[in-house]
Amino acid sequence: MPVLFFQIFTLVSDSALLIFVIYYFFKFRNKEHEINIREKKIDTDYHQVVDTALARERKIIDDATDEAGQIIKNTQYVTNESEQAVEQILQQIANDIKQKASGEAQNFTQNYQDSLKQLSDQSLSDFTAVVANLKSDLQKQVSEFHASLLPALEKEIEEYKKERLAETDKTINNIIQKVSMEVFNKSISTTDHQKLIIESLDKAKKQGIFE
Amino acid sequence: MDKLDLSNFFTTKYEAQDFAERISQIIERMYDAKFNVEQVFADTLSIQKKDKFIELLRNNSIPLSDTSKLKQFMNDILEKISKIPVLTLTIAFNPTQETLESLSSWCTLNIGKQLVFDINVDPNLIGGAVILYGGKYYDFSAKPQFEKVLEEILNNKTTVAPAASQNTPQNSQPEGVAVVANT
Repeated sequence: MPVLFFQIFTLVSDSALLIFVIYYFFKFRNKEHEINIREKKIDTDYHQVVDTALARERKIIDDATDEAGQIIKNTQYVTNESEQAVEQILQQIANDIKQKASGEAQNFTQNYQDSLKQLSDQSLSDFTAVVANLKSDLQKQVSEFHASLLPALEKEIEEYKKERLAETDKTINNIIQKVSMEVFNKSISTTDHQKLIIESLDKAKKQGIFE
Repeated sequence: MDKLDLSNFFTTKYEAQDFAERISQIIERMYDAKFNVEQVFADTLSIQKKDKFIELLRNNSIPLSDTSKLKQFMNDILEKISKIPVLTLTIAFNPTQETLESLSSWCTLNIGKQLVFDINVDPNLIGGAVILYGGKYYDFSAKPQFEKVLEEILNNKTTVAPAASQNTPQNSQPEGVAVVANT
């Protein structure tokens, strides 16, 4: 009997368990189905949002590109205009500077010529004065030279002349003497030289040199 | 006249010194054991002087074989050379050997003794000689007279001494100007 009971109890419990498992199985299956539906819905919404965003983005980019192109076009136009304006201004400035420089140069040249002329006139005047003074001094010195130095100088020159003449005479005499001696010496033969020496010895003997 | 006459061997002071040196060499070689007088004379003296020297030995009775006498005679020669008086002559030309021998002969004949000459040459003397002997100086050259004449001419003196003007270089008789010098 207990076994039957036990068996019945076991059977009931197993059945309960099986029912419980089946119940949860279906429950989970429903939940999964709901989740899949939600997921699909979310995915649909997501794609819709993304597509919308992309469409807006494209529109923004296109608008920005158009705007930038417009700006660039405007900028180039402004730049060309500015360059032309600057060139015109520079050209005008250059012309002004050139005109002013030419005027200044003419003024400077004129001033310089005037100054130079003035200076040369002044120098000429000074030089004339200096020459006049120099001439006067020279005349004075020449007069003094004639009065005092010239006679002394003439005297010195005369003395020097005499001295030099005397030296020249002496030199000439020496040359004549040497040349004459040499000529006479060469003109005497060896025999005559020998005779003259013997005669000298005779004279020496007569004067008692060998005694 | 001196028996030892060496006038054939030298006339000048330089020759006398050279001869004395050769005699000294002969004396030195006499101490050699193999001394051969003929050979030594031939080596030391010239052929001419060797013959004259042998003749001198013969005249003085010195036998060639007697070395001791020969040595004594050589020493006598050296002594004689050292005592020969020197006559310093300044003359106007370079004397030949003949002139020197002639002068030496004059000395031997007129003075009776040999002299050696110390010759100096001065062409400015023109002719004659300047003699220096025994401390005495005599100028017998033509130079003083020539200078006197030349000075007169250069000073435009019209009156030139006849004796001076007639003296040509060939027959001039130079007057001796004696100056005694203490040397």
